[in-house]
Amino acid sequence: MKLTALQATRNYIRKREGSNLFCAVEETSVTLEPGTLTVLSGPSGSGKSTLLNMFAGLLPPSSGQILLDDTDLYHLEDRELSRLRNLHIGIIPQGQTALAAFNVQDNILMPWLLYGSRKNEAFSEKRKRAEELMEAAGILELRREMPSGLSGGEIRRMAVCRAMLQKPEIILADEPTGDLDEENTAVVMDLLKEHAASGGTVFVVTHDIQVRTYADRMLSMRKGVVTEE
Amino acid sequence: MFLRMVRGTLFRQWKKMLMIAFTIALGASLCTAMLSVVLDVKDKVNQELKAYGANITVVPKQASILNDLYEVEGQSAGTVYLKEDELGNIKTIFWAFNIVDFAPFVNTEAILDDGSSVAVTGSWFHHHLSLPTGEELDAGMNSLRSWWDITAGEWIDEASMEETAVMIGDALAERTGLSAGDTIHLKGTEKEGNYWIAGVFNAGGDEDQQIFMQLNEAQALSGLDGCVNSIEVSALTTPDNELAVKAARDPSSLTIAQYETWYCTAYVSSICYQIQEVITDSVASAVRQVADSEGAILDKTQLLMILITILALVGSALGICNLVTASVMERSRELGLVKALGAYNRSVMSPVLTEILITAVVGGVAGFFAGIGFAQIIGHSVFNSSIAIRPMLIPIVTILVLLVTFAGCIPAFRTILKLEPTVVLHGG
Ligand SMILES: Nc1ncnc2c1ncn2[C@@H]1O[C@H](COP(=O)(O)OP(=O)(O)OP(=O)(O)O)[C@@H](O)[C@H]1O
Ligand SMILES: [Mg+2]
Repeated sequence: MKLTALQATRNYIRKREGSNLFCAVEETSVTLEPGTLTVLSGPSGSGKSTLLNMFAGLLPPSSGQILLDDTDLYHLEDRELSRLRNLHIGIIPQGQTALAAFNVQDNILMPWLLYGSRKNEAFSEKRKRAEELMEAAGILELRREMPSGLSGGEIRRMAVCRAMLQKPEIILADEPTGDLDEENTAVVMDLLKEHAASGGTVFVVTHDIQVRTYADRMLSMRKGVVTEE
Repeated sequence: MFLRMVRGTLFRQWKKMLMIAFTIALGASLCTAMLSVVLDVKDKVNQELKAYGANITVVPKQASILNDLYEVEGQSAGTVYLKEDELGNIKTIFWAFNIVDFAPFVNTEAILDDGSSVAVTGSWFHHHLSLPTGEELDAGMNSLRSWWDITAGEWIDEASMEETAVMIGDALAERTGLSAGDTIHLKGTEKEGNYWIAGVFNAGGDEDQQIFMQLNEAQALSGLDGCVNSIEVSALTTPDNELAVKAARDPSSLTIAQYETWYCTAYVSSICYQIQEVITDSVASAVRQVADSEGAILDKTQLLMILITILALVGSALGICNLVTASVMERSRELGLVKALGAYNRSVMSPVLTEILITAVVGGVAGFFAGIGFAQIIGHSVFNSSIAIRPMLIPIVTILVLLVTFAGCIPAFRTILKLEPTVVLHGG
């Protein structure tokens, strides 16, 4: 599946000198291709997360469209879009994201648990998938821990596993290596790279120079404008 | 999954949930207390009034006109009487069950040994009635004059005492030097004889100068067999409204529908009207002060209590609104994340709704019982008796609590619906 931004823009209403409208993303047309790991870098506040969230179906563009293959994401009902995101788009949000009421394994299984039941036959299969991912990310022994007892890097790796659980065609990662050391950065990037190699569409937003070495395609962003590098 | 989310929140946010439950309990308890008092206050006031005595008097038609014209006491118009054998009819009217007590009175005079004359009143004392309807009733002075202070001896009891048992007022007792157990000689126009004083009373009025005896004895003294001067009736009544006032002036001015409503409501005026229908040539009228103050007290208390109830409910709705919004805000990051993972709006909202519902039920039930307690406190401090709890109260309070809870939750749910996961998930 490919994800296309078609003349998408995003404004925020905000008190600035002159106009109240602040344009976080200028008119942008980019296509994220399957089998490619695209890296977007740029200074803080340049609109990277905003663009990523529009791709994720979480933030409607002010104008223009976001197309998943040929469907306009923002013309879908909340229910359809949610289900589509659940199955086909894995999101690693910026920051620490965990559900405090659930342990690590359940946090990772959450995308599946939202729609499926533990009694379902498919559950054991999903659990095996979760275990493999945790193994690969090096957090298998933490599976029964609650998030409050985890380090920032561990939570970040948990979020990576969670995004990959449903084997989504598309993975959108916002600073996935923000809290990680070199070794763990490599672990996470290898997972993402592998996903792209097997035909997935991967989009990574980062400041990290180390991450750039994994890129198939490099984009940079400055004041809402995306340019190819 | 769903349940675990609910349990998780109830567990982690138990302090906040406790606050919400407490707010709901507060509203529910006030609401329960006020409503049970409102629902019960009518009977309470009636009981108070019954203790106060009769609220309807029945006199012969002509006597009533004469009284009105010359403002004289019943005695001087004593040529017209009601018929004793019609008394039982009072318990056959439409509102028979609202008639809690009644007694006939015959007023006459007798001469004492010292030549002075004394007012004699005949009435019922614990008079046992077996009505054609099969109902049994003990009617008479004992409850219609419940405020009498018996200073010596005891009340006359028709069943166990001689027919010549009498009661005398304490002013008369003092004047004659007689007391309970003594014998008094009375000379009427038709009969004379010795009477045994069963008790001495203090009524705090004219009655303290009088002698009270059983109806038939008083009639025999002056040859008034089968005659009654007046009847006092104690009835449970519905407070007057406009319709009742209009009807009391002139029942024929009502439309048929109004007449029907009025006739079938226990207004004091409709009960009077119905008594007149069964007692020949009689005029039944409400003892004014009592009937009026009854309505006024009721209206005012009920209005006040309903006002308090509304304020309490609005107060809890506002409290719930604040607390629920705060609780949702606190969790907005998690709710945003769940949305980002592919949950749709309704599935994000339902755990929150369930949590609050559980909290509301806990708070509501606790509040309900606390409210019953409050109601009893009010009952005992204001009416000196407990407040009956109507089953009707349960659905009313349930609906009100749920309404208030939902009203309080609306802003929070709007917050959830508008929650943009991105805003929530921005940065660490
Ligand atoms: N909800 C919002 N309301 C108003 N302004 C916003 C909102 N979200 C983002 N912005 C503004 O839009 C601009 C772009 O934000 P964005 O989060 O996309 O930056 P970023 O490139 O991801 O930065 P960083 O690298 O620090 O994460 C910023 O100036 C930010 O202040
Ligand atoms: Mg960002």
